Amino acid sequence: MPMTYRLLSMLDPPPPGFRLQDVQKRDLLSGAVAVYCSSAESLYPLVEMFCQRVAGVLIVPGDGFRQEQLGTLLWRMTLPSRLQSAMRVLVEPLLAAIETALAQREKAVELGSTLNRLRYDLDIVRGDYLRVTAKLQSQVAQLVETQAELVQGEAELRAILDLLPQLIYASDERGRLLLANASFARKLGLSDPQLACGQEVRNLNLPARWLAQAALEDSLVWQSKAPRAMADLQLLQADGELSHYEVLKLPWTCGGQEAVLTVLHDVSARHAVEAQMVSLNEELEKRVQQRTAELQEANRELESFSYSVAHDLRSPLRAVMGFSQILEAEAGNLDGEQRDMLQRVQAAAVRMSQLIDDLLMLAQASRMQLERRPLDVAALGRQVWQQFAHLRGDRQVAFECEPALPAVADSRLVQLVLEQLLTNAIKFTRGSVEARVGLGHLQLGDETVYVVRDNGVGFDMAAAEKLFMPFQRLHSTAQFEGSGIGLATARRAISRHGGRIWAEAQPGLGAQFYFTLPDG
Amino acid sequence: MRASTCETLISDPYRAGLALGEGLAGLAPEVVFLFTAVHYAGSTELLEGLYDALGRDDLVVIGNSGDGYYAAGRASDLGAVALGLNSGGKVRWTVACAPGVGDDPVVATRSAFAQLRSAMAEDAALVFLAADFRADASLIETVLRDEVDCPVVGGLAADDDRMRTCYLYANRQVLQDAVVLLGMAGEVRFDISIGNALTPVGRPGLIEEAEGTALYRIDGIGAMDFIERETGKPVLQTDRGVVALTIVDPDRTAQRRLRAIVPDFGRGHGAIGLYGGIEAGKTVQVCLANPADLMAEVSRIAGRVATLDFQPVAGLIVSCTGRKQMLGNDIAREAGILAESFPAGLAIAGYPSFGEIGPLREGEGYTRNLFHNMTYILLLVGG
Repeated sequence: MPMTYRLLSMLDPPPPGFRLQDVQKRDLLSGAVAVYCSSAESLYPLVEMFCQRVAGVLIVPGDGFRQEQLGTLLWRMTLPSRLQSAMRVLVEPLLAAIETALAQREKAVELGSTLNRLRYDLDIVRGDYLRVTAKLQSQVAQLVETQAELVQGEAELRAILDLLPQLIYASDERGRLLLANASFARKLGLSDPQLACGQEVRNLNLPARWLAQAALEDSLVWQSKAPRAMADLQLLQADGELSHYEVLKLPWTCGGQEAVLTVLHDVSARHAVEAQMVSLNEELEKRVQQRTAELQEANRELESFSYSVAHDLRSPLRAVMGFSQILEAEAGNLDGEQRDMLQRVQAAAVRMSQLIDDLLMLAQASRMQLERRPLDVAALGRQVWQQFAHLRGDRQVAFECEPALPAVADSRLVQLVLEQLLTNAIKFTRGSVEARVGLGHLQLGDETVYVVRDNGVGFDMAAAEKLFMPFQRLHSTAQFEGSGIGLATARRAISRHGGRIWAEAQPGLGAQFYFTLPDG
Repeated sequence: MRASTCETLISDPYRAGLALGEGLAGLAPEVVFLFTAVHYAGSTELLEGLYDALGRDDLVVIGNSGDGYYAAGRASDLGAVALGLNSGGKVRWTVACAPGVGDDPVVATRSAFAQLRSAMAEDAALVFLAADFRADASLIETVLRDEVDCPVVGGLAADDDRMRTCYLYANRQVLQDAVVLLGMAGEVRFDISIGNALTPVGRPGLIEEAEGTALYRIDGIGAMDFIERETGKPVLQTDRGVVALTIVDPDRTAQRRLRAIVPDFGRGHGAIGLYGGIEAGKTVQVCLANPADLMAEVSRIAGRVATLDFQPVAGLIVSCTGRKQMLGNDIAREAGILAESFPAGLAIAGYPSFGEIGPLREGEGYTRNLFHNMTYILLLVGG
């Protein structure tokens, strides 16, 4: 290491090897230094904490040789004038040692600082360690608490599982049981469900059909990873009874292991009830069919009776009408009262004839074989309107008919309906100043409703229920003639199609008759 | 422009100053950037020694204490480094300072710049800043960002990671609780690089309660709980430099701004300190530092600056103490990588800071001046 120390002299002449100069702070602190001066103390003001910071030798002239240490690396050397020439030789070894010591002191300071820093860092790490361990302790305590809760929760779940009447078990892909509940264990004849765990399903004491079916369904669940349900698994029990089960198989994870969870719900009781209900239904259906047949037979007999009565009444009525006409022609000397009585007999015969016609029409509407075909209700309506022109006479009655009203129905019966509704409309608009009759339709959802409207006398809706009953009339014969059979006939014709007919009206504001004709 | 550096581990402040001055004497520097460990305890004798060695009263000195210092390929916990520049009179160097940054960072910073403008009588091309770390640097940032038009580079002074004290150097003065500025005007060329590669982890959270540099509540829970939730581990003292919060700015996603945490378990339950405040209402995301990422970014920066369109003579590094903690013994490589990019020589000096200041690169220029944490700032200077 090169020597960098300085040899300075404040006294003139300087000793050999020493440089004469005015010593400054910089000279004293730049490294190891030897200063030849008259007094060491005279230098002290130049440097704060002089003795601690200055490293070297302060040489002062004196009587004898003395050396004293002023600081860690600072000495005062008193030297007789006669040794001035040897001063350099005397101080150089000391300065070299001081320089080395100075370097070591710097190293020591550096090491001390490093140690101090490490100690601080260690404290930080220790603090972190304590914090981490405290956190860990708290987390472990929390974990233990959570685990205890989990164990308790698991026990509660297990208890619930064992209380369930369903047979529940889970198996892994090899068919090994991972879980079984008490119901399932009982089915196997085991006292403890845990005894079932670990066994292979195929080795269990279960019906062969069950095992085969379960193996097939399990493999499908493993493949699809989706639930599968069997609506009715029938198993013959040891006691010979047939049991029914609803089976659900679900992909599941049991203790981190993939599994198929099987839930079997015994629905034998429900099956028994359902079977009983089916039997009762069948019995009920039979009874309904029997009653319907009886009713149809009674209807047929009644219709036949009505027809026969009406038909058989015609002959005597014709006789009454014929003879009364002969009597009228030949008995010219009858007085006025007798003539009036004869005319009343004739009028009654005509009414009775009309009544018989109407009854025959009603019977016809009931007995006729139904033949559905596509038809145009509007065209039929226009045809009927023309057919009954004579009923309108000289009256001006406007007929507003939609261009086309398609339907699939029996045209003879629909014509019968339209005849009744349109002749009624003509009849009940007799007193209207500007009589109007309409035929159209309206759409109620998917259903087409045909409507016949008029602006005639209308009626009170309170009596609407009686409208379609035979022989029920809302107006007197004196006001409006009729037998009371027409609307009953219309209803029969519509009901033969499975349709409905109804009316809406207000007195003095006309009436609307609605009917439907389902396609059948 | 010429530059030179000198470093010393001498513990005596005057002798250290002398050693630095003697090391730079051949350059006859016009300005000296001085970065020291805190062990000199703010002794003015350090500056006295420097001035005595260089023998010129007009020498401009700026600098501060750090958690040690950086030199080319070296990072030391002790001693000091000095970087001298001599522009041959082509650059005007002016120092200004203002006290009271702790109480009112805005007023102190504003005052320092007012003095600088007054003393320079011309616009500065670049300003180097040193400030006491015991201030809310986010408030210093507001002045730098909104009121200063030229780039400002520098940071907050530091100590040996105890966060107790620090010192600022302004010519012959040793200051505390102050802002010190060095304005540069004339034929000076420079380049500023900023590296802050940290990996965001977890979900962003909304700051609900904050005051100054303390964060109290984020995302409905205590700030410390939020950080622990997102990192999955307890917050530790040694996380200083490992964990930071990035401020999520949807309008400026490319401009990452970090605030390193200051774990202070005495702040009260759930609160956490920062090197610079973030106000309530901002969204933050936890970021974790990864040594390999940090070094890779510094390498990228070194690669880029090796091909600048001017020849830098000096590199000043302001790098977060957190990075020093994180990189451990590899911290010397941070400066070493830069030195290797300039085989012809580059005078390098710097310090581990408690906060960094500088604009981000934006296109061919820079953004406004910003305050950062966990960041590596490199200022290259040439003539």
